[in-house]
Amino acid sequence: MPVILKIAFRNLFQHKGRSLIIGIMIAIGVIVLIIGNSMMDTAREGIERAFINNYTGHVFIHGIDEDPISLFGVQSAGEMKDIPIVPDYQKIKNYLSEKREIQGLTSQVTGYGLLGLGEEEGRVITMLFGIEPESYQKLFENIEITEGRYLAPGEEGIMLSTDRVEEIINTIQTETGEEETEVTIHAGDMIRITGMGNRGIKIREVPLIGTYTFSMESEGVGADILSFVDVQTLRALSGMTIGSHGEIPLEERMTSLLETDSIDLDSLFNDQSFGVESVESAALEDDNLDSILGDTSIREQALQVDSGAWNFILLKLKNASAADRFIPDLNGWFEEQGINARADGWEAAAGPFATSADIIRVVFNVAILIVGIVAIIIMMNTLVISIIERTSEIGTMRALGAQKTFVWKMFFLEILTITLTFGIIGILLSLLIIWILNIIAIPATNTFLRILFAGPALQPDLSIVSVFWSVIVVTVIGVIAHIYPVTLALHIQPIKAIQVE
Amino acid sequence: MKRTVFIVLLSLVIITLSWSDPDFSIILADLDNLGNFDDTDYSAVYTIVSEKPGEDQSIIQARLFRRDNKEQFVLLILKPEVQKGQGYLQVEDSIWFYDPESRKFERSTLRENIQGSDAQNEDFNRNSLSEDYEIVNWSEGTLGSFPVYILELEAISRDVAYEKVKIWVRKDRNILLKQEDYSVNGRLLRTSLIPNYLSVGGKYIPSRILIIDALNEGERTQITVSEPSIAIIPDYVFSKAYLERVNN
Repeated sequence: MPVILKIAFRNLFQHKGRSLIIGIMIAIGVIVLIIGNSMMDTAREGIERAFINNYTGHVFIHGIDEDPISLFGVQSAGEMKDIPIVPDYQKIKNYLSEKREIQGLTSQVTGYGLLGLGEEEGRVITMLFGIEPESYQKLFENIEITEGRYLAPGEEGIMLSTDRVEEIINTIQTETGEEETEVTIHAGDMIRITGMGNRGIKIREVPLIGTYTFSMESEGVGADILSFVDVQTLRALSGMTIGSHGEIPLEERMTSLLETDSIDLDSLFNDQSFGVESVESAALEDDNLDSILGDTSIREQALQVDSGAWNFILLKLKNASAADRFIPDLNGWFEEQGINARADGWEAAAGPFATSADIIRVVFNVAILIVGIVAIIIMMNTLVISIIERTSEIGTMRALGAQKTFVWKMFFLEILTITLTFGIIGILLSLLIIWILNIIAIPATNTFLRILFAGPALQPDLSIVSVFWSVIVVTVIGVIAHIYPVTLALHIQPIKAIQVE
Repeated sequence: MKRTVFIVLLSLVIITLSWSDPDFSIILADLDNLGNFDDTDYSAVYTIVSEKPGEDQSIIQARLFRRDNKEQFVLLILKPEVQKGQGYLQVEDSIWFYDPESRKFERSTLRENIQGSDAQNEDFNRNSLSEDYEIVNWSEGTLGSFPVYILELEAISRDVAYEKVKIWVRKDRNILLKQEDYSVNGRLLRTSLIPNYLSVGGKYIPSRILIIDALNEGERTQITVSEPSIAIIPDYVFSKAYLERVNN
């Protein structure tokens, strides 16, 4: 063993107390970094898994709007905007069918609605996903039927989350003021859906095919408010019909107030423009009142549902990490083909729910970062003080003929020994703590904690990357922390350094 | 001397009376009375043209039937074809929406917008400012070239679409020219301008209304009234059965 190493070890053993304090600080730093990172990684992966496996897939394709689009619609302030239809739907599907990276895909229509029983009972808001049952079930296997069964292809009906069913029951009981009244909802019951789209109110009554929960923890990802309905029903509710509004002849006076962008009150309210016109009462005939709508056959044609209209195509890739390359490639193809569509990842698809989960995660990350920085500062402080205390020792060594490089190397070896030894102890303790946390499984008692823990309990997975990085971080900190005090000590004349108490 | 004192006192009384606030509750009652048809029925065709930035104009034509003394109304959509036959019905305290596609009724409210426009059910119903609101403030001003009273109202009834309302009423005759509707916390939600009225049977109906959405810039709706009638409407019109039958 080289002399310098012997001296370094001897120094460490000679100053056991000081070495132990520095070591404990390093071990705590490593533990904080490893456990913090493991929890962050677990939360991030859990949230990503929940969204991707519950309803977003890895890639979602949508039409274009000036406002951001998610699976929950166009995120626009103050108004409900129509979700654009995927243009050239069949062409896109044909192109995707040639892509080997794709594990599976499905298409979807999205809408909002109110759920209830009959004319007056219930009225609970829901997000409606109109699906192709076969491909949807294959792509998103998380739906666990609790009563009834899954929607069959071409079948008219709805699947409600157990949460929505409970909400309808609670609402009916509250409305009737009789909380003791027994209200039950079972598969086979007729559920009334009131569509709330821009095309106005539309009503449909469809059978409840089944109730479900998500087999994967879905808290905070908005899955509870989802209801899955056959796509034709949702298209009808959303006004996705083949008929246009058609030409309605208007007199000039019926739009004259809309003709100028800015309203000139002076021109509207003066003796020339303002007026009260006396008119004769028009006649009303009974016969006319019954035939007031005239021929309604055009209406029946216009209201036929557009069976080819979809809002989204969702796909899962065989390899999740391929999404980073697949999405830009697909967008390049859209541009090349002049298709007004866009592909985005799961975070865009999850929209407002991913944002809220992200905010919670960022807050948590910042908290961990602060704790990490505090630990690092304490570590550095302890190291600096411990070396300054040894200024006279450095002076003595220099007076005895030790070169500056010798002193540097000695301190470097000391600090490296401490950081590596206690770094490993920190890693082992972290493993033990993570193992204990997994056994105890601290329950998440509220939504915030469920998002944070990415599940019903705190059971972090060890982040191997964070183990590696934490050792590097503490070593670098150790090395940096000793540079300044050693440099300071070496700059003092040996004779003065010896005199330092 | 006595005569001089009497004249001075009389002058003071007249001056004091002329300086006192106008009775705004009477003005509100007059506004309601002028637009309500308590002795006859009322019917008209309403054309609602809505504009939203970046979208085509949306047009709805509907026939309104009103029987104010029983607080009943029916609004039956005539155009466009895809919405033809949809209707709103008020009977007693309930407002129903009828969807002819599913042949089902759904409860609605006075606050509900008529099929995506800025017009609401309340805009077609009988006037009830004096019953639903109290005056909390007033001032004088001009609107265009007309001197007006500007009255700030707060709801005393829960059955209103807006908690706070500001109205501009012509001073020389009780006619409503402008109305601003506010949320509970005082945020302006929409402004209505009424530059034209029709007079039928001694009653005044706003014949052209411009509604400006204050929340969504560029969204405006014009309502135009035509074919007003005060002829008697058969009782059966104010029923769910009529909305169903007319769609058969």
